Amino acid sequence: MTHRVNFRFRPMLALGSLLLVATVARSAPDPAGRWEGVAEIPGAPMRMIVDIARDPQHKWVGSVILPGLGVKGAPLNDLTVTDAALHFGLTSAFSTPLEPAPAVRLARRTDGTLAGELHEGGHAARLLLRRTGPSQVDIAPPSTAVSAALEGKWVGRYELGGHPRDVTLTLANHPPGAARGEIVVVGRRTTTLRVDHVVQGAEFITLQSNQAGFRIEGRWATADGTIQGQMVQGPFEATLVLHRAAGAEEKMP
Amino acid sequence: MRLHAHSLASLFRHPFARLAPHLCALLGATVAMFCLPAHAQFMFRGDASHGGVSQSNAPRQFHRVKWTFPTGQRVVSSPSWYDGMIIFGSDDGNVYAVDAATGRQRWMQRTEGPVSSTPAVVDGRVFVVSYDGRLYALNARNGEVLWKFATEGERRFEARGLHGLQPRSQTYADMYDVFLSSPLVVDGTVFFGSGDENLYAVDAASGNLKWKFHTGDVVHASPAYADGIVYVGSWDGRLYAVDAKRGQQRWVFQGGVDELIHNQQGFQSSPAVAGGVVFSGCRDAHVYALDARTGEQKWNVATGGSWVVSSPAIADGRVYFATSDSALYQVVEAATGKRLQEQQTKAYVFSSPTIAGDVVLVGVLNGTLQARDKASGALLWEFQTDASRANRGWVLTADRRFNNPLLFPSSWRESAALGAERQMTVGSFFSTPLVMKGVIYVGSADGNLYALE
Repeated sequence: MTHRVNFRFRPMLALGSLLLVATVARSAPDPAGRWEGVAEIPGAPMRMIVDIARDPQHKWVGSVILPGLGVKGAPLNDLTVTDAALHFGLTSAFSTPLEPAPAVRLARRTDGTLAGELHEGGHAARLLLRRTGPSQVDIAPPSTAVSAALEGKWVGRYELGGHPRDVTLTLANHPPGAARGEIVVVGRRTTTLRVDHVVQGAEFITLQSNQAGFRIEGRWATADGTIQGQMVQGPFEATLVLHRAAGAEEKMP
Repeated sequence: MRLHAHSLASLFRHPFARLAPHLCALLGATVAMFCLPAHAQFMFRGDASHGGVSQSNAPRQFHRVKWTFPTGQRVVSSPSWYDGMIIFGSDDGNVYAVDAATGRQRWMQRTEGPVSSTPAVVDGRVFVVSYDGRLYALNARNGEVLWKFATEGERRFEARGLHGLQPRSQTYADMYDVFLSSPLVVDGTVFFGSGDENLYAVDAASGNLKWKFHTGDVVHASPAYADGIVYVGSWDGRLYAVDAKRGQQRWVFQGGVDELIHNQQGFQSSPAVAGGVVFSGCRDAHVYALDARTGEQKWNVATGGSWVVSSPAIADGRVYFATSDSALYQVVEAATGKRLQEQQTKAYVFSSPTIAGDVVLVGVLNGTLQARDKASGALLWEFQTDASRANRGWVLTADRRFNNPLLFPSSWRESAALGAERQMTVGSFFSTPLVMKGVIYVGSADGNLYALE
């Protein structure tokens, strides 16, 4: 069924349309920006600073600052923006997140604020965020690819508290040009860690596993072809020299 | 609490008590408490062997808070009983005697430091250790000081880079070293451990030193006694058997040592002795059963990295204990260590299980006191402090576990100590419950002594 609109009402319709557009625009403030507010945890209000922006691929990205909790620029996970709402996870903000994972659910309100709840530890606290400026998202530098000289399997040993631990490191490049890997540490128990971040410089390589705050770093451009460095985990450091695993030849370019 | 052979001897010395065996046999266990003369012994874990078994039954249903007695600081001390009074220490520096029926204060004695030990009450005298580094002997009737014995000074266990705290080269006091050694009294001698690394034997009448035995670190466990030997664990990771008369070492058992972060070491748990076996938990994440005569290990139960700070209770050929991080209440066979029960308590347990009839009481650091069926381990009821219910700052998750992501955001400097302090704001039960005449008395980190029935 179609309707003809009386000419006399057209200006009002236009005005109405404008108002409607304005209302929609007001009900859906641009999520991009720096947002600040307080989660009303009873007895311990938690200040939150949230940065949200679009990355070059127009995908929403964000990070959070939690003053007093030692969190600066922790990436938001599962960031979802709809016309009316904004959701994200805070898994990276806490070193030992509980289940269910901490998350924020916000409504994009007509007054230009984001209002909703922080969910953590099975609790929910009211959260109101106001825009305070342009976005300053902390974007972690992406992993680099590793040279062919470093791809493959490496083995080594470190000692901590008088106990030896055998390490097997496996590194491989994956499209679009970032290395990934796995670290297996065998001591009194066997721990398998995913390598989350790889940075290979001209002479130095850093491998970070977020899972246990475990890092391997050292010089890879050595005369004998080893990676000479150390493992670092919290307050602990130990010398670690990685050799090519027997039978694991360097990958030729 | 269960009376050891020695306690029975003193019981029968009292004129009134000559009839006690017959009366008790006739009237049953609950009424039996009325048979106790004023000078019966009460000390940490009930008696010298530290069995942790109450002579009175705990209720299988929770009815009400009978009364609450507030103090000025947390109460980690466990209550003792004397002639209708509950005697306990508070971290506010005072020793209190409270009327068991009304909850009204009968007397109070000030010390110069937190009283984080459990008073022993023997022959009308109260023996208790304060953080001021002194053992106090008080008149149980009015709290009057009879004598004081000064050690070389109290301190908490400490170590460089303790628990992985940073900077690693910094020495940290252990925020979970909450208890002081609770005195043991046997045959006119008071035995207790000290932060000065010694086990002391002091004459109960005069306060004169009989002997002292040096260990390698802080002794905050409470000594246990059987057949002329005193057993005590030290934070040096060893459990010692010492001749009660002369203070000479009979044997030593080496527990785990953690040279890296000193986390998995030290006997904070107090031993219990039964049937020629010494049972003790250890921060090296084991419960040990040792031959009382030789120190030879009979068995151990591994707890998967979780401390065993609470002291085991022993009854009916079973060992009852609880763990910290894994928050487990466990029952094992005393002869073999075979697991018989395992129940989740949701938060760390430092309080020691009290067996009271067919109920086992377990205090939990999340501010709940749990009553469990002795046979099955099933939860019968829980008492939760107001502070735990209020849960300010989300110290606990919705299901009452510690909300560690919010409590421990950093391992640097004093952050962990602050987190541990916050954990205790929910009215944690470090104190071990005392059951008398069917009423449960227990202290809380909210500063209250509770009487529950």
